[in-house]
Amino acid sequence: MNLLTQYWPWWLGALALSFVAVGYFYSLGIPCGVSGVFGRVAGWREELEARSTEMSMARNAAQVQEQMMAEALAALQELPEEERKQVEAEMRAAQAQEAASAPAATTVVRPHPAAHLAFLASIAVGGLLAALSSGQWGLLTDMGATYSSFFGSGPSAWLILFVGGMCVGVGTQMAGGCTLGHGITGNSSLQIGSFTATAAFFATAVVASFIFKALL
Amino acid sequence: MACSHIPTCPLFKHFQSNATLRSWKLMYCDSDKRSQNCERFKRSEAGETVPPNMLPNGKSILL
Repeated sequence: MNLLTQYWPWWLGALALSFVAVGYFYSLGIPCGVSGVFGRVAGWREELEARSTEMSMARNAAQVQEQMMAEALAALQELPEEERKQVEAEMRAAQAQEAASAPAATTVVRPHPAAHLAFLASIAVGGLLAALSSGQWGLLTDMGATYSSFFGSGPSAWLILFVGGMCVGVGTQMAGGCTLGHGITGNSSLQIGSFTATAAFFATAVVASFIFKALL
Repeated sequence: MACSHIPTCPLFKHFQSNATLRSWKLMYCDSDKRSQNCERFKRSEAGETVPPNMLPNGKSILL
């Protein structure tokens, strides 16, 4: 079987995707998702600023812990009495079970935006290499026969693509992720929000395809 | 049900390191209702950037 020109068996595709998702998480410490990565590259200034803060927090772990403890005790005093007593009782119960001096937790420093850019570039380079090595490289001016049968060709088809792309961008921002982020990474970490989002993605796609078939 | 942002919250790990810090978890993370008061949660839900040093009550850790 030629892995560059034919669809992979489901099990091989699943293994490859899980390798990418798990490898991404363990190498960068954040969940894998293309829309999230794209957002981090687009907001690189904020990412750099946040990274700098995290590095400072990691360097001053003991000082950070002290401040967090002082603020926690102050916040506790601002709670209504009944709630405060309940939290204090739970704190005492926890205190009895743990060592007197636990080490300060280390702040995880996010990756440099260049790492995200490299990930996005690698997607394009991988696609290019696959197309070149399978002899399918070429400049395409349409989305293929199926797309043309629904939306025709020319400027109107491009306009629909543009509007579709905008909907995907806005939708992934609203949903907090795309099919990769929710469908693979979120579902595999058993996040209820990702189950809901993935169900909505697929249900909408099925309904939309029936509507388009009926209308066009 | 606990806060849905726990898996991605960078501060949550700190909240488990000792009993005093665990009070943050008890005050803000242990239920959906409590997480609605978390400034980090509110900012994130609004699609805004959440500063890494912002505590659940909206105050910042000074560095």
